[in-house]
This record gives sequence, C-alpha cells and structure tokens, in this order.
Amino acid sequence: MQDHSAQSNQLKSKFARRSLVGFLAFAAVGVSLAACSSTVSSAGAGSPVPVTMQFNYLKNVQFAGSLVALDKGLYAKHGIDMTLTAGGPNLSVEPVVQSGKALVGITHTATAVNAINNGADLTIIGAGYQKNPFCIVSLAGKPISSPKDLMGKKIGVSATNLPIWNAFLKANGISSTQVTTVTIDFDPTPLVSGEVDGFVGFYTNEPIILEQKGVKTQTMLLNDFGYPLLEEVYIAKTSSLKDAAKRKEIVEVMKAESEGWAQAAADPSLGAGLATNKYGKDLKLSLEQQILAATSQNGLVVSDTTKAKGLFWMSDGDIAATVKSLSLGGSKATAAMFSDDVLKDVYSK
Amino acid sequence: MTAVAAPLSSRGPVRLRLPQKARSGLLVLAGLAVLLGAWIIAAGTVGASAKIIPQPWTVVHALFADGFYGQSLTGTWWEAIRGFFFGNVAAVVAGATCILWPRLRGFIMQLAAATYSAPAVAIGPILIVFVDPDTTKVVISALSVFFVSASGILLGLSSASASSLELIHAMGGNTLFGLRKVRLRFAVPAAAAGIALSAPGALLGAIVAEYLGGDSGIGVAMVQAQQAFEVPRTWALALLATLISAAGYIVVSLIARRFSFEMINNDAAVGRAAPRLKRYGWRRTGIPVGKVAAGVVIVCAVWYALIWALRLDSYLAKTPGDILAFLTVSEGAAEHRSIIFGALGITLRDALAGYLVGSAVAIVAAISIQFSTVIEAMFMPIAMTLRSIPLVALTPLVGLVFGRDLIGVAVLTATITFVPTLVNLTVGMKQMPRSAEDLLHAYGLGWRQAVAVRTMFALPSLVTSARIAIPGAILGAVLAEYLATATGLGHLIALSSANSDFSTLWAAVTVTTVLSVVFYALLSRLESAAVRRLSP
Repeated sequence: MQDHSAQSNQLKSKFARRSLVGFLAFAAVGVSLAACSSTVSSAGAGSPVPVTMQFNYLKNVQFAGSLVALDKGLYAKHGIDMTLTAGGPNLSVEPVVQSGKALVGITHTATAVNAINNGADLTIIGAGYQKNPFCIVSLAGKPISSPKDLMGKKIGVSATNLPIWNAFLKANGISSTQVTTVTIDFDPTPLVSGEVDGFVGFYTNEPIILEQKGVKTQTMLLNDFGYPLLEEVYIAKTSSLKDAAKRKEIVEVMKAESEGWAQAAADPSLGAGLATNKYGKDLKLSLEQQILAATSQNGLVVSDTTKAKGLFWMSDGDIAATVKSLSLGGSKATAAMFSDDVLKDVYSK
Repeated sequence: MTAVAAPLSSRGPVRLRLPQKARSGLLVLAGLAVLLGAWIIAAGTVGASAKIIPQPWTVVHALFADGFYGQSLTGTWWEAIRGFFFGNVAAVVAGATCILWPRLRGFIMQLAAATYSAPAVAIGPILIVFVDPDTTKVVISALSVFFVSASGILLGLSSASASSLELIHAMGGNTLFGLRKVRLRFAVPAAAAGIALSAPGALLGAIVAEYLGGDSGIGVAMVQAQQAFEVPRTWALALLATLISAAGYIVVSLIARRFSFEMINNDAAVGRAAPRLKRYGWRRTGIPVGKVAAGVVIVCAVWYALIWALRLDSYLAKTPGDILAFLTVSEGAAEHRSIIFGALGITLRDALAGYLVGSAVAIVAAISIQFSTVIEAMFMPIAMTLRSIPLVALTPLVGLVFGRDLIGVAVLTATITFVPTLVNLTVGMKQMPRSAEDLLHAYGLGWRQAVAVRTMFALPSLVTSARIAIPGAILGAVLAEYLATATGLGHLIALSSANSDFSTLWAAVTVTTVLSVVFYALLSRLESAAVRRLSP
C-alpha cells in the first residue's frame, strides 16, 4: 500500500491546480502559446529579417531552387533569414499564409484561387511552373492518352488534387457519371495493384518513380488537353504587398528564389543532391530519381517567357489561359488575382 | 459504468505463475507464426501480381538497409511522448473534476468523446493555422489519447467499493478526502488500463498529424515511401510503428501492474462500478434539457472567448454564430444544408456499418476465447496490436482487397471499433459471478448454455464498449472517407480544407463532433439502464 500513498501525493498536487474544464484549459494554453510566437516583426536593414516560406509538399527536388538558395546563402545575401517549412498531403498552404505564419507560400493555382474566392486576402505573385504539371498516369498496357479514353474508367485522385481534377473534367465536357473518381493518397500503389485505371499525378514524380520500378506507364499531360495552367504559384497576403516593409521582404525573397532557381535549372544534380542528402535526408529519397525529376522539371520551369522576362513571370496570355481553364472547372478566377508587380521590382535593377 | 478499458491486470489471480508464463509466451509465438505464415502465403499469391504485399524478409531487409529510420523515429517518438503526457495530465484533471463535481461529469465526458471523434484530418488543417507545426502534432497526439485515458481514469475513480465510501461519509470525511484516501487506491487498475490503452493512440495521432508535412518523422517517411512506391519500406515503417505502439502499450501495462494490487472484495467489485452514492431524481426522469442547454452555452461562450481573446482572423476562425448563419440564413444556406447533411447521412451509414462489422467479429472472437484459453493466449495479444497499426498504411491494402465503397469503409472502421468491444466483452464474460458458474457445473450444462449464460452477463459490457466504439466508429468512418472513398463528411472535410473553404470546414467538423456527443450521451443513458437491469 505504500506505493499508493506516494502516487496519491503526486496526484494530489495535480488536483491542487483545479481546472473547471481540464481539456479546454489545455487547448486554450496551446493556442495562446502559439499566438504569442506567431507575430513576426520586421527588423531594420542591418540584421537579416526572419521569414518563413511554406511549401505545399515535402522537401524534395520540386523545391530545388529554394533549397539551392538556402544552401548557397542567397536569402541571407538579400537580408532574409529564411525558414523553409515542408508541407504534406493534408496541408493547405493558403491558410498558413493568410494567418501570417508564413510570408510567402508555394501552392497550386486552383486551391489559391478557391481560397481567394472563399474570402482569403491573397495575391498570386509568380509561377514556378509555366506549364501545368498535372497528368493522368496509366499503365502502358491499358493506356489513357486522351480524355475520351477516360470514359468508364476508374481514376484515383488525392483529396488535395480534387479541385484540379474536377476542373479538368469540366474543361473536357466529361460529366462525373462518365468516370469513376476514387480518393487515393499520393500513392501509386492502387494503379499498380490494378485497383484504379489511372491517377492524377505530377509529371515530374510518379511516372519517373514507376519507370524506375520497372512499371511501364503512359502519361497524359492535362496541359495538352484544354487545361493549360500556370502552376506551383507563389502567394502572399495582399495586405503584405501594401505594407512597404513586408513588400520589400517579399521582393528580396523572390530575388533569392530567382537566383536559386537559375542555378538549379542550370545543374539538375545540384538541387537533387541537396534534397537527397541534406534537406530531405530523412525522406530516404533516391538521388537518381531526384535528378531525373529535376531534369524533367526544367521543361516546366524554363520557357520562352521566362527567358525573355525572367523566371516565374506570368504573361498576360498565360494568365488569361489559366483563368479560362479554372473557370471551366467552376473556380471563378480573375486576372486580378495574379500580379507581376513583385517580379517587376525583382528584375528592375 | 463498467469496464471501459482492458483491465488485463484484473483477470483474477494467476495460479501456477512460472509455467503459465512460459506457456503463454510459447502460445503468443505460435500465434505470430500462424500470422507470419498467412503473410508469406498472401505475399506469394495476391501480393505477387499486385506488388502490394512484400515478403516479410524483404520488409526486414528494408528495415535494416534503412537503418531503422533513426532520426524519423526519434522525431515522432518525441511528439508522441509529449502528446501522451499532456493528454494524460488533461485526462487526470478531467477524471478528478468529474468526481469532485459530479454534476459536471456528463458534460466533461461528452466533451472528451467529442475530442476523440473530431478527426485529426479535420483538426490538423485548422490547428496548424494557429499554432506551429510541432505543437499541432503534439496536440493531435494528445487528443488521440485524452478520451480513452479519461474513460479509464474515471472508471477507476468510480470503482471504489460503496462500503468504503460510505464509511468515509459516516465518519464525516468530505468528497475530497474520499477521493484521496479511497478512490485513488481503487482507481489504479482501471485507470492504468485506460492509460495503457491510450498509449498507441499517442503514436498514431502523431503519425497522422505528420501528413501535414515535416522534415522528419515516421509519418513523413511513410508519405514519401508511399509516393515513391517503395512498398517494402512502407511496410517496414508501418511494422515499426505498430511494434512501437504495441511496445508502448505493454510497457505502460507492466508498470501499471506493479502498482495494482489484489482487491479484497466480493465477486462483482472489480471493473463494475459501485452504485453512485447519490442519485438525483430529476436525472432519471426525461432528458435533462437544462443541462444540455447549459453545456451548449458554456461551449459557445468559451469558443467566442477564445476567438476574441486571441484576435483570430474571422476568415480562418468561425464562431458558432457564423456556422449557424452558414446553415440557416446565409446566401445559399439551403445548398449548404443539403451538402452538410447529405454527407452526414453517408457518414452515419459508414459508421454504423463499421460498428456492426467490428462488433460482430468481436463477439465471435470473445466467444471463441471463452472456449479455449489456447486461442486466447495465441491471438489476444495480436488482436490488441490491431489498433496499433496506422490506418494510413492499411488503406491501400484494404482498398485493394475490399474495394473503396461501403465494405472497405466498414473494414477500416471495424479495425478501430473491434478492440474496445472485444476487450470489454472478454472482461464482461469473465465477470460471471462464481455462484452462477457453480450452478452451471452443478447441473452439468453444455457449452451452449454456458455461452448463453455468459453472454447475458456480458451484455452490459457490450453497451459500455459501444460508448467508446461508436465515437470510434465515427472517427474511423470519417478517416476512411477521407483516405479511401471520397464520400461523406471525411471527403467534405478534405475538399473544404483543400479549397480553404473554412465555413464548410468548420460546419463539417462541428456536425461530426455534435454527432458523436449525441451518441455518447444517448449510450450513457442506455448503459445506466442496461447495467441496472442486467448487472449480476
């Protein structure tokens, strides 16, 4: 019985701190603690300003330019003390930027536009990809190479890609009854196991992964079938863009991004190496696969537009095409949601 | 109130200690061997063509080749440990509050049930906006622990024998004194069982939360392994997660066993709650509307106060008023209602199917266990680990074998509802009074009668376990809808989260939570009735 008196003493001290509703108090403490730490003050020109950038996925070669910028001290050179925050399958970037927990975010265009339509105060300030990287991946033996091949098929789509998928279907006049959509979670297993006939993948990821694993695939780029899109867009709060100090920080971030991506595009193995061996070390990435992905990604990042105007540039024509694509899918995009103003500052010497 | 959790330690005195131990060890190994055999066969047949089930040795090889995911493991472990700690501190506070102020009991436990079935997939995207990613993971881990643990602690605290409490009362001791001197001592076995049972939840909560992203962690590594089609690695990570959560359960159970002691009491004392000292007449008559209203008012007040005090962005944080307006008077309210309640209908169906499948399997398993101690020793420990398997890793396999419709959802959900039901039933069946057992022997009745009699005594346990299993079923259904079927509230949550549609997201989460609170409250009433009527 001695054990118990010891225990009861220990518990007694806890009861001393009586709480009416234990759980709520606990939750409140958690929330308030975080609220204290979420205000970021912009420091003067001398010391580097702490800035957070939110990715929409894990730290792999998809973010090669940012990883290079961090590793080579390009952010620091522009007076920014950068924290790069990884995303994941369940994360939405827009709320994180909206709440001020990140100054800049990299996200999908459709979700950014939907967030703005749902009341978020955001502006799209640049496009990492000039072409829409989403594609339908199918098995080579049972290929889906045009939208009409989709009829009667079962397609796997991850929850976060559903807005894009629905928009694509509408763009091609396919009703949701003509194709079966099932939710899968960023995992090509259901295709290989035969559970689905195809899935919405990322041009630079799954096709390469499956190829390496000896699975022959067919890819159909959404970009080629009525769904051109500026993608991997950079977003910031509109109110930040109106605040002189914040705007300056954003411009400096984008300068570093531009320089980082220029280096990454010139040498695909640079970003791949950083992802595999440094920033995404615990993800156990395959270097070979990351280099292949970086190489194919270059085709999306660099275009005639970017050669003329600079990386991330969003031409009026591309913005119009993007707005049209998204509107087909029921996302009421407008050209006003996109702005090259920050990029103009980035590239004006 | 009956056994909510698995008082493995309360299975009665163990005779012939050492040989028994060796024997049960061997039997567990035999059970594992059967499981391993089934795995190898499955991998060689279905798995080979679909490339979805790797052979065990490939998985072990991946585990070694990847160096046991050291950094990832530490990261997730640290999140889970803190989640476990805070979740249990909150559970102890909640349990003690319930005893000191019995009027708050219903309210607190309903709130606890709400935290259990508010799914991480829904809470995560909201939480991460307000706190940093690390805190988000810890909070989700704590939320996965809190309810299971609080249920066990409360059960423990109310399992003091009535005679001891009456003695204290007669001697002039107050409630606090009774809590300190009597209830705490009686509380240890059931509370410890509840805390042990909550341990796997801490790790699984952290893993699901890691699907929000991160640089390191088992969940993060699993996302990457799944996307990179590294099937053996995915299995290796799932296996590792399962082993660690199961180990967490075992370690906490063993520590608990050290603190537990043999109760000198009559047959029905352990696990079964002593009757409450006081019963309020108005409690028994009709639905206590005033109480429900008071609860709603308190929750709404705290909700408003938090938003106001923390100056939360009105786009991200919705008030109860916003949600009500969204569903009633806003533009398109009718459409909002049809979307939300349409999804609710599907989720109800999915949860019910999952609950029924889980319970049916648990009943069959509990009855087979009554027959054969060999089966019990072989498979009970393995069944216990079922709830340690991360659902996110299980989904592709279940999706392939059972499809991504009602059956698939039912199976995924059943993995959550099966364990609490099995555990409670097993304990319930064993709680048959000695006198009834003697009577069975004396009349030389056959196994049919034996099962019938035991089942009668186990009925209250079925209702008790429903109180945990049904919020669990709602949680499982929402998660399965999110991961696998693209229907119901789970899908609505995923979609509104992806589109930053916070009005729909908050409304969906609120509806899910209210649903489980209502079920919990109804089942609590049903349980008191069942216990009164059917208790030995």
